[in-house]
Amino acid sequence: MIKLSKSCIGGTVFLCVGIYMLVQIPNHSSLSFIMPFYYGVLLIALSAVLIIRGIVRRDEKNMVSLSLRGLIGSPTGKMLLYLVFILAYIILIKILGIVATSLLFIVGSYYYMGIRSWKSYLVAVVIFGLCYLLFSTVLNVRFPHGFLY
Amino acid sequence: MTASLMSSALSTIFQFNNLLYILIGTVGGTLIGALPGMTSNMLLAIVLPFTFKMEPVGAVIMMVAICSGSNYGGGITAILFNTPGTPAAAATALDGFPMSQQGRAGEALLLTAFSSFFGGTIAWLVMIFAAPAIAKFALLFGPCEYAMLMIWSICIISMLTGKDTLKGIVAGVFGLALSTIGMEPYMAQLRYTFGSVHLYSGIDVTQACVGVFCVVQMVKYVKDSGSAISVDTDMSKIHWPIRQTLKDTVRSWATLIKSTVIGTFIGAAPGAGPVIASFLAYGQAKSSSKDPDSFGKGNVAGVIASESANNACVYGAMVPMLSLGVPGSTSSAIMMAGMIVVGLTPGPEFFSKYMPEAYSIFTGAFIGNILFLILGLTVIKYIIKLVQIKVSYLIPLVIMLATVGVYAPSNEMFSVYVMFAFGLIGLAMDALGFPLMPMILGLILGGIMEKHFVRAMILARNNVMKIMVFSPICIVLSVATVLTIVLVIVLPWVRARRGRKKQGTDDAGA
Repeated sequence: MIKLSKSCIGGTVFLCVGIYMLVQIPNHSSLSFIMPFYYGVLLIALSAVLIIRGIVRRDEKNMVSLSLRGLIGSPTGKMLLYLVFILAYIILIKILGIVATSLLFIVGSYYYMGIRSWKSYLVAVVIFGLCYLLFSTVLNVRFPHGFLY
Repeated sequence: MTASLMSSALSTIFQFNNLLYILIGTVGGTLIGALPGMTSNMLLAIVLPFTFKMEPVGAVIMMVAICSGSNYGGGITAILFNTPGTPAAAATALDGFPMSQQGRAGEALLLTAFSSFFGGTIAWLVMIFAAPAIAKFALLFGPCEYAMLMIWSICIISMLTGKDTLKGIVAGVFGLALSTIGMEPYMAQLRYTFGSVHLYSGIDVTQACVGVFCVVQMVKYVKDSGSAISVDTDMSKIHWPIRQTLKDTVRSWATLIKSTVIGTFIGAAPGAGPVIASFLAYGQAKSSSKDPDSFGKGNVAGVIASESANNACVYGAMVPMLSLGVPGSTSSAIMMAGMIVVGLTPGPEFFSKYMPEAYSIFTGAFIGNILFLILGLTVIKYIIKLVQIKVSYLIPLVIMLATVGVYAPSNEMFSVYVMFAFGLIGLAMDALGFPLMPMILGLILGGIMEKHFVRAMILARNNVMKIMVFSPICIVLSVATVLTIVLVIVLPWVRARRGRKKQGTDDAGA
């Protein structure tokens, strides 16, 4: 199990963002580089302080453990799996269509969270139906319809 | 002039659509506020994409009603189940729950409605008089003054939000950096678009807000499996002494006024918010009471202080937002994003450009205040039944609503991908201890700040130091910025050092 400082991880990511901003500056004209320059410099400076602080202060509260085994069955693992579920939902909208995907998502989510009452499923499906009607008929939104609708 | 504005505002507000928006906002806000863990920010973020087809005034008054309603709703579960629906309601629970245990739940709930109404009304009066006056003063602001004001407010909010000052500042600067994506305002040059046409107009604040406030929150609930409140109280046995409670509220007028003043000022101060306001007001009520020992055991003044302060905070936060374009809290930042979406950009010119709309918003806010008083006196019993719902039932519905809502204005899946990306960024930042509010604030204010800052740099001939001393207002704002930075960095360090010294002396003594 690897233990890393939260400040170090965050600092490194923001340091990379700051460096990328500055690297891109030569492509900008005289007025458009001002703000990216200041933000880039600030991000690099602050991230450096954050990384140094993370190295110096190695208290338990500021540490995060990276372990794939620990994730299985844990609340964090459950959370990450649901995140994958959401990702699948938004990707499938274009392929299957919004109606089919949303119904699958709602039913799947309820099942995943241990909800078994059929009334809850029915209420959720009715709420979705009302939302769909509101958007498609009242607000004239054209939703993507895949091969399932 | 004012009479004609008021009559036009009244005729706007009493249109069926606008009354419906206020009702939806108040009921929705109360329900969301009452559900523990669900915040008004989340509901505001969900509502944000829906505003694109709404009348501007209707959209804004609905958002104000959501904020007021959720503050009121937070007190319901705090009183009945000792589970504050919103963090600000934690102060209400201190005396509200003991009242409930003594069989005075109805009285405590009525007190919440009355004190929220009176607190909101007094703060509303302050808002109508203060906001246009501040806006008149703000007309003296040029690009340099504006740039300094933005820097100061971003500094103060980044530093005061979250537990870690440095991480707050980094998150704020990251938000500002994200605001540079897209077309630059002066030369129309593209920056950091990665060749994507969708990013030419920059990152949409609505999509970012929905990602950060809905996706992050919902995914985090999955971790806790969204527990429901266990109900021991028999609702049919609750006694509702309306007249007596109204008399008690009026009798505590001094506490009410003091708490409202605290709430209004804390609301107007950037980075503070209703939690600080309600606890400060509670502390003040306790310290000025003749019987401070009765606080925490069901003292009426405790509930009045907390509830009036947190509702006053909503209106207090609107003063700098409308007149200066500086949001005082997360909810007012989202509200400001909503106002920009509907075309009512807040700032010094708001009152001169949109005077009739401003009056309509003020009137709508007051009607919303009356509405939740009526709600509190009539349908509260049914609301209590609804708040016992498990949060896990709402998770997929909120995600689905967020997706549909974000897709609707643009009719493009790219908007949904941006929402999800911000959800991921938000979760990662939250896991690493970075506050999310400064990032969103940076994203909202970044574009406005760039316009003013670049113009100020041209005026000051590329000399940043010159901007800081460009005018007396600039000097005051520069001093305020430096003082904020010094105080926020130095004070905790001094306190920690004193603590260590004291501990050392105690150890030596032992």
